[in-house]
Amino acid sequence: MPKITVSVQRRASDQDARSFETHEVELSDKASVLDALFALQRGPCPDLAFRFSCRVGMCGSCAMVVNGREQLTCSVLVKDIGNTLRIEPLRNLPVKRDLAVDMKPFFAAYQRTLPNFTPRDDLDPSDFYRLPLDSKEWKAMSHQPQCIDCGACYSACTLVTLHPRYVGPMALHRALNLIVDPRDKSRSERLNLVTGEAGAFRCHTLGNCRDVCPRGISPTHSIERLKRLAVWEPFRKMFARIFPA
Amino acid sequence: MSNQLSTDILILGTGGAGLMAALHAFWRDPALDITLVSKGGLGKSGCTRMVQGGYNAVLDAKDSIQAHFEDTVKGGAFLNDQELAMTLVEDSPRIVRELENRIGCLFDRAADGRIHQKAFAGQSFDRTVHVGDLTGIEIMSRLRDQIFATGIRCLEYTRGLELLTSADGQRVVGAVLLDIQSGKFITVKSKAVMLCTGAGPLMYQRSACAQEKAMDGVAMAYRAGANLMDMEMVQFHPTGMVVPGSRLNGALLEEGLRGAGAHLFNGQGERFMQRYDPEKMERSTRDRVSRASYMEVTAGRGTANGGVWIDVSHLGAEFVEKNFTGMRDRCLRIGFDLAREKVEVCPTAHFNMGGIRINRDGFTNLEGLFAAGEDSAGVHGANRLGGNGVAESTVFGARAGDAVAGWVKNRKHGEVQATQVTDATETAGNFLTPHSESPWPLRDELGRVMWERAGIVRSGEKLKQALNEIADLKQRLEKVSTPGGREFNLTWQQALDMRNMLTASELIARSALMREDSRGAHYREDFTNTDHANWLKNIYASRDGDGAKLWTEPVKLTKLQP
Ligand SMILES: Cc1cc2nc3c(=O)[nH]c(=O)nc-3n(C[C@H](O)[C@H](O)[C@H](O)COP(=O)(O)OP(=O)(O)OC[C@H]3O[C@@H](n4cnc5c(N)ncnc54)[C@H](O)[C@@H]3O)c2cc1C
Ligand code: SF4
Ligand code: FES
Repeated sequence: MPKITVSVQRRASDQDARSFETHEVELSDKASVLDALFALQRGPCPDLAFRFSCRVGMCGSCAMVVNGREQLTCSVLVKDIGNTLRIEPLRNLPVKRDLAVDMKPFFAAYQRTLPNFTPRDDLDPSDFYRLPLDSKEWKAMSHQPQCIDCGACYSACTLVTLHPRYVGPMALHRALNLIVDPRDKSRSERLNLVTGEAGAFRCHTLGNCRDVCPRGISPTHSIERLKRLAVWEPFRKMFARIFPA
Repeated sequence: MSNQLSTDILILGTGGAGLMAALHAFWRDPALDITLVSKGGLGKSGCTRMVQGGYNAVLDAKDSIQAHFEDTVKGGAFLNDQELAMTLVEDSPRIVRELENRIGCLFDRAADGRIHQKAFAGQSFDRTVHVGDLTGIEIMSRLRDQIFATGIRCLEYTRGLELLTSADGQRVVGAVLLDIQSGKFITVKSKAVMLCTGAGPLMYQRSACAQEKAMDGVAMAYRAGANLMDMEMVQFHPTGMVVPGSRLNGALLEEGLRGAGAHLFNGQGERFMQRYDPEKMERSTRDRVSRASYMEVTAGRGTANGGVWIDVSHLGAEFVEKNFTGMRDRCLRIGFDLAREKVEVCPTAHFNMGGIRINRDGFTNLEGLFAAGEDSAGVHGANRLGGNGVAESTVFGARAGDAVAGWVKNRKHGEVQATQVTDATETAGNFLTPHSESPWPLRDELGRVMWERAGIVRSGEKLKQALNEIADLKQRLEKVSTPGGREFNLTWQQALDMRNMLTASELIARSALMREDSRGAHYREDFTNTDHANWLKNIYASRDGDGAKLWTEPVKLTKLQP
């Protein structure tokens, strides 16, 4: 494989000025973008800061902006991007150093949406909730791939940039998952939380999140469902009052 | 120069063991001050996150605790601590249901809506609970959500550096940490410290594990005076990917492939397992399949890149696409379609069966020191079954969490010895003063030494050579310097990792040299038999001044005899 030109953003902190450092590296044809960073680390940039753990696309630590687009760097091959790489940290999050952002605001937004499972009181702890694959409950659930909380969608979302209070696509996608989970008891509370000012109705359906998600999730689709559920919720409640289960 | 923190329970590591321990301690007593420390991100680091195939638990009326226990102990070549193995199989049904019903994981269902359990190699019953072929994402994400809900303090991108002990060395009183991002040290005073750093055989040139792991917990415990056991027992998984020139090299293709009926072929197209285990063939245990592949390659019957082939295409493309989506994606990325063609694989270092000696509730021989998960030893004996790893980390994490919450009650903090803090920070800081060597070539060298001499096929000769080379590398490490500052300097972290990996490598090689038989993952070409008469013994190690002392103790065969 020919030599690759890699430019990486260097920045001591969020306050510091951005600068780019450019090097040529030699890589195998199976090298990922993360491998390119390892090559820099062993060569000209021993103190380059970036995040990774699993290197197999499961931990979601290594998302960055590569040639202008969010990528999971361990899971995309250099040869599929080109001979020149320009690597920057994720957007919409403060930079810790170089290519590593501070994920705290991302998870703080997530935590505002009651992301933890709250078991229904009548769940049988000695069994697994029955979910036949042809049941209505099963079909109503979200069957998208698993989210790895990489933050790519948060970085790509224009509405997050414009409205820092907006919880963003990943948090809303998680909320939908729980809201349609028949084992969880906080449906109404959660629906309230995520359909307010900072929630689903903030989304303008631009679809950036769907375009960049390395797991092939469409948060856009989940957010659309949340909007519909919110609209129907008063009727559902009334119905439940008239015909208790 | 170092920040101070005082807490009741300090848990190092945020994999399955660490997070379960924290939750259980919190549930026991929400008033406790608990501090979690993670070398990576909360829920985003370690191997539990990478669990593919799934979680073993006896849930079906046709399965039995006794059957799972026997699989575990036979799989472990009778080296297991049978108390610990029984605890694993007895507790795992309850804990996997807790993961589902309380923590919120949603495991895969069969068509009728009941829990689905899939086949794993080396087991008498299909008992592996899973979420497709990427189970760890679900387990870790949901555990993290619950941790968020408790408000437990978590220091991310912070590493445990050294344990602190009382003046007489008998009690652990805290630890020195290093905040990787700021480069600042933190001295923590804690009533109890729990090690859940997930060990990790990353000293081998091919390893499947999370990249930040470096035997930190085991090495820290050893330096503090804890008893270690079975250090020679390193598991090699037979189906690591072959991706020259990438860190993906050694990444895993999951066990379920062999469970589902994968075939393995050597470079000449023979199903070579015929030669090694004609009865179980590819569904034989990991140690046998790894050794067989290794021997095929050494005998010149490997692929061009020194591997063998795994083939699942005969199971039908649709079946593979549906059941092994994650694995197929992983292969597609490097240009192979697992559903339609064979893929090159080679054994890869995967798991440490050995580690810190614990009892059923995570107590160690040092007062105030607890351990759980891969950092500990005894559950798996000489070989771990697929699906017993995440079960171990969650079961024993939960137990240790419950136990430590009770233990710290009515206990006071011990006295921190200032000299120990200074020693720890100076040893670490030394790598920042200019010397001559870079840690990277040392890492490569260690990877080669361990792979060739203390790996899948060992001998007295090779192990002695390994020990010489390790001693040499230890000296060279003293001259290592890491350019750049203190802040978020990953090359500095690498030097600190090397220190722990060298300590552990030496213990692995020494224990392997001592064990003059072949058993489970440990294979000596100069002692090929499993010698029950002389070697139904665990090898222990602990620090003795600057060196290590090793001794053996017979395995207590309380429940099952060979
Ligand atoms: C690719 C792969 C697939 C696997 N698949 C399966 C499977 O299908 N079924 C199964 O049962 N088992 C499987 N295992 C094994 C399983 O992952 C382990 O047995 C288990 O998850 C270990 O859990 P743990 O909590 O002990 O450690 P880990 O989950 O590895 O967590 C270790 C934690 O400690 C942190 N840490 C490390 N050093 C320090 C330090 N110095 N200070 C602070 N924190 C530190 C790490 O960052 C991490 O957070 C697999 C392992 C791998 C590598
Ligand atoms: S939804 Fe996709 S892009 Fe967003 S955090 Fe999850 S995996 Fe990443
Ligand atoms: S390193 Fe884990 S997803 Fe890339």
